[in-house]
Amino acid sequence: MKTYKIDLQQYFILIVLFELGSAILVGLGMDAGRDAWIAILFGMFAGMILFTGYFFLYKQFPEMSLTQYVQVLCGKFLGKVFGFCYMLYFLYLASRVLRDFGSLLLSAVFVQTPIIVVNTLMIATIVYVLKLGFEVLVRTGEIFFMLVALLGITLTVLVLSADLMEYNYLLPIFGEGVIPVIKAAFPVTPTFPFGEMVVFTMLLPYLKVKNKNKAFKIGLLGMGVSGVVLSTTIAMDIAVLGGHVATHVYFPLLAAVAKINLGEFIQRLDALVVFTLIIGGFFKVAVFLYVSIKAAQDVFGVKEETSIIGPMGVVVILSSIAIASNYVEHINEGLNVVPHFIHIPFQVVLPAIFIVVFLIRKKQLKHFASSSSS
Amino acid sequence: MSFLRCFIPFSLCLLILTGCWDQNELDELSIVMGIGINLDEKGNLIVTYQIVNPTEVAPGVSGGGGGKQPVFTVYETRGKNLMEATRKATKQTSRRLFFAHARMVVFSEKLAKKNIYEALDMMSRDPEVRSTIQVLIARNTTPSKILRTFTAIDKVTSDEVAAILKISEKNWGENVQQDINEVLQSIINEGGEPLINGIELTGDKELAVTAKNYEVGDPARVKVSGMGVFKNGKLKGWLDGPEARGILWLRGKIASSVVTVPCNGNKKGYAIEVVRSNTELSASTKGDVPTINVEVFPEANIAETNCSVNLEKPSEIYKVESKFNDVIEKEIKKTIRTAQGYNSDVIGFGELLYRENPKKWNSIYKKNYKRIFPEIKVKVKVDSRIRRSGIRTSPFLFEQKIVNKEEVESS
Repeated sequence: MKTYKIDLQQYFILIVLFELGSAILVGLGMDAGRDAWIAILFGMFAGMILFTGYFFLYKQFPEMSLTQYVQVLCGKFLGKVFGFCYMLYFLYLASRVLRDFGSLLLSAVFVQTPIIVVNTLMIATIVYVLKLGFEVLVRTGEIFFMLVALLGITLTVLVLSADLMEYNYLLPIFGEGVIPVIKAAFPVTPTFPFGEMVVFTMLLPYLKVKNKNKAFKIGLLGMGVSGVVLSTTIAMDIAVLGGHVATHVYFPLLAAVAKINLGEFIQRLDALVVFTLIIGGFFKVAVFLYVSIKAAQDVFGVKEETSIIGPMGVVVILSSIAIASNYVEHINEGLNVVPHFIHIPFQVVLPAIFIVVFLIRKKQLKHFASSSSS
Repeated sequence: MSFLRCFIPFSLCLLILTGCWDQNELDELSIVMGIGINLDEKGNLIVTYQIVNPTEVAPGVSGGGGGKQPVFTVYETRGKNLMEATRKATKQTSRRLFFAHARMVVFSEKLAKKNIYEALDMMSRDPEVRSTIQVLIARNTTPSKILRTFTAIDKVTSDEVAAILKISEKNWGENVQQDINEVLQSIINEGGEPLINGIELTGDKELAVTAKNYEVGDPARVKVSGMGVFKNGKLKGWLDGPEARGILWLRGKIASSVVTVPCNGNKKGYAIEVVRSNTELSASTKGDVPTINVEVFPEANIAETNCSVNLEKPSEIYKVESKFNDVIEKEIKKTIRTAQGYNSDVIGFGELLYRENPKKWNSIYKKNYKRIFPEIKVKVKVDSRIRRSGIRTSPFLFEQKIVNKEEVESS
């Protein structure tokens, strides 16, 4: 099979863009009030532990994606069932992110536009990119990364120089004790966005062979960088807006940046934030959609991935509309239902089971691995 | 065939990419610069919108004529809530009201005394209203009068007010810019209450609303005036003059100001120009009633000396410093007394106590804060540094040995 292989730099960029994606805009860990930024760091460390597990599995099957080695681990039938579940999971996440993106764009900018228009345009672009192949997505990511980094640095410098931050808003640290922060952090922040690294169980096999040993460190580095960026962004939002306002707006970053006013000249930069939102949303939906296509390929034995991109895209559009009847319901599901009943099984429980199964069947599988590679 | 293959994608792109569902054509919008909110007898809102007349603001574009029409026009509607009133305004306007450029919202004293919370939600919820919108209260006048006043320099009143707020905060320091988010945050802060700038009309009030106001040399003007103290969302009173500046000293927001300091018995002897200042607050939460320590570190220059002193002697400078400290200390103490008199924590002591000792705040202070706040003991320490005295050494009064009779008597 001739596939495009990514190098470490692209892999790093992929992780950071994917992690920041939509998470940088919506308030994370906001139940912790002014300690939200600490909740994110907690989430990051928990997410790193999960990633270690995913990487362990990858190490055992360096040529295979999750939906492929599941079939080896649990047998053809059970493996396909699990693979199918993962496919649905990735599809669902793609629709969720798309819905997030559409709703937020609508409530902030396009008040009168129907959400299906925004979502369809987004999916149309994504399908176009994916039709051209994974390589194009990764390279698009490289360009986007530069843009996002540039925007991020510019906005941070502007916020700093506009002297908007009131550091007292961040104090006291752990004012209500550590428990509420941990409560706010678990299980939401480790699962979103850090636990979503589970998609990389599907993407790690695309790494160039020579890079495999460094991949673990770079993966953690990518998560660390995105965790720190997320945490400082939220801290900045809180320092600019105050704990109450920051936790009660849908887009803390948008609200914070909107306050920039340098000499009545550099002002109203919210458009730049909307721009990051579009980039982040695009990339995240694209990765989820691509991964679910890969899963579908493995489960149903589809030869050409291009043949199912379009249909899957349509499914994502429709389900992004159908999953919730209003935004409050959507957010509520995202905070109270999905982390407990969907993220945890798919991000923690199932991978843990796979590891256990692997350890039990190690000898049998070794035999399999050596016979298949020969 | 190949022509079609090119043509179809291009025309599709045209369909999708050129337009925008939520397009707002500039000539279909009325740009709202200021919003005024008042209450009528029945308790409904009277909402006033100041709308800019674009051709008059930039006369160069339309041929430089101008002057025939006013630069802004005002609409007024009534409604049960803000949004209803806003949409009702379309019965009078030929264009949709567009709020993204609104600079200020003015509440009437009547509304502020009843309850200010009502109208704040829409402002912070509507994506079109920017969070940088300044909140004010019309003092001894109505919002609709303020918004109808023609101002001389920045032709649109709301622009002028926003500029006044900024300049006055930076140079005089008796008001703090308060945008909608800051007001909301101060309501939510632990034990906190909002503090909202007042605005009043001075001069000939009849003239203010006519274009003649432009033509006279001494027109009616809008003036930022004091800060309104709230308690439970209701306006209770005003902080004026030095009391208002005390708030900025306490919050460490003084960028620059001028403080008058007595000199050899002449009460108006020195004008001290503050160039920067730093404030440190700390609290001791040992007893049932906390003690708060305020330390202020202003840096200042002597800007004016109207008495006969030898400013070349360092000891004189130290004397000025200590007098300067006393004046600021008095200002701050007076502010705190007034706030405690209103029993409204506009200073932010509640937040400070929460920062210093969150556990005790939650368990003891928070419940009884209404009882505790008036009893909080505050120790104020001012440690100023006078750096320079302009480009002169001693005042000419000293050189001429002119001694005021009063000074001799008093010193």
